[in-house]
Amino acid sequence: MTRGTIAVLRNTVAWLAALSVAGYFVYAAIPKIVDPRQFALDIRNYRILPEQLVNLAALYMPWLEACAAAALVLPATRRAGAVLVAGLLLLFIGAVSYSAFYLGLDISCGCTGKESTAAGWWTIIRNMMLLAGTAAAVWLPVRGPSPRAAKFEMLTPQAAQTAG
Amino acid sequence: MRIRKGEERGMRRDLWLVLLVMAVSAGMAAAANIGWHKMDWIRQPRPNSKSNHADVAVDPTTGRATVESEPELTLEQLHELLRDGSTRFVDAREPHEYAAGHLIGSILLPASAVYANIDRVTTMVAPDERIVVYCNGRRCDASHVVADVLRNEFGFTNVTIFHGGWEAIEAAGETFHDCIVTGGNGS
Repeated sequence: MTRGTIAVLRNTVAWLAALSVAGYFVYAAIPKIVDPRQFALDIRNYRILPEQLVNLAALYMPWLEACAAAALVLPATRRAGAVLVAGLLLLFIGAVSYSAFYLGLDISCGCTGKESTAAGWWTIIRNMMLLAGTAAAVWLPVRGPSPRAAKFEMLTPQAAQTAG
Repeated sequence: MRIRKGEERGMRRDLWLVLLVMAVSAGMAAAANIGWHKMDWIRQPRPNSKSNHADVAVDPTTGRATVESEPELTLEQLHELLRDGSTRFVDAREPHEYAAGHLIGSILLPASAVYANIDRVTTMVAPDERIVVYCNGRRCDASHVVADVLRNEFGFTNVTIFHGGWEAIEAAGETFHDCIVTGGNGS
């Protein structure tokens, strides 16, 4: 396999990873944007946030998920999007671990609105997989040579020396 | 570990982009939910004074939540309801609290898992039957959460909250000794 093929393969996998993670985030954000009341109940059930912050979190987080997903897809903002997506995923993993395992609550994870699964191991595993996808979207892509470097590669050694 | 100048500039740019995305999200959330603070769909902390209890109900014509006052159910009235057998009781606390002690015949519907366990109520109680919901006491919110869901999402028309909760029942002592189950025995 040539270096060029490997680069194309890595870039393709990175794009697929970015699109998959972003797609899931948008899919998860839409029901929460449409029905923030349900999401507020889900957040409250975690028993982490004080009551005064539940409304605000229910209104803000779905939009943050959607915008972070958009940022993850755009190459220019991919790293920033990845930071936000990874931050949200770590937050979710922490919240599920605290409420479902430490407090022992039998609650809905609230990940995708009313149809969400129960908060538990599966939620954590899914979030870890999304975290891996986010990492792949950022670290896999191989940057092509810059136009200046490409120009240098095409020149003869003497010409390059002169140009340099 | 040394960070090259170009990398540092890139990291700074990413940080600004993170803040920008967060700000854009906040703007979009605000634009999509103008007037959210007027909504009653998520309960705000209520005062603990006896005369000031309010509950949220949905106006059937507009579909919007409205705040209406609810007369307080006293311990004597609760005892009477327990004895005449015409009322269903819903315990909105957590399973371990229920196991430690609950009203005889009460249905466990923890506020933390209302939707997962709603069948316990919908299969056993008619929509117009009287339901009394209770949790630990005046400071707990679980009974309000459960009552809201029963009224607004499952169409139960006669739902009352016993604000005193389990603390008041326990404090009443002997009066309720024949109406409660303790230590995880019975239903």
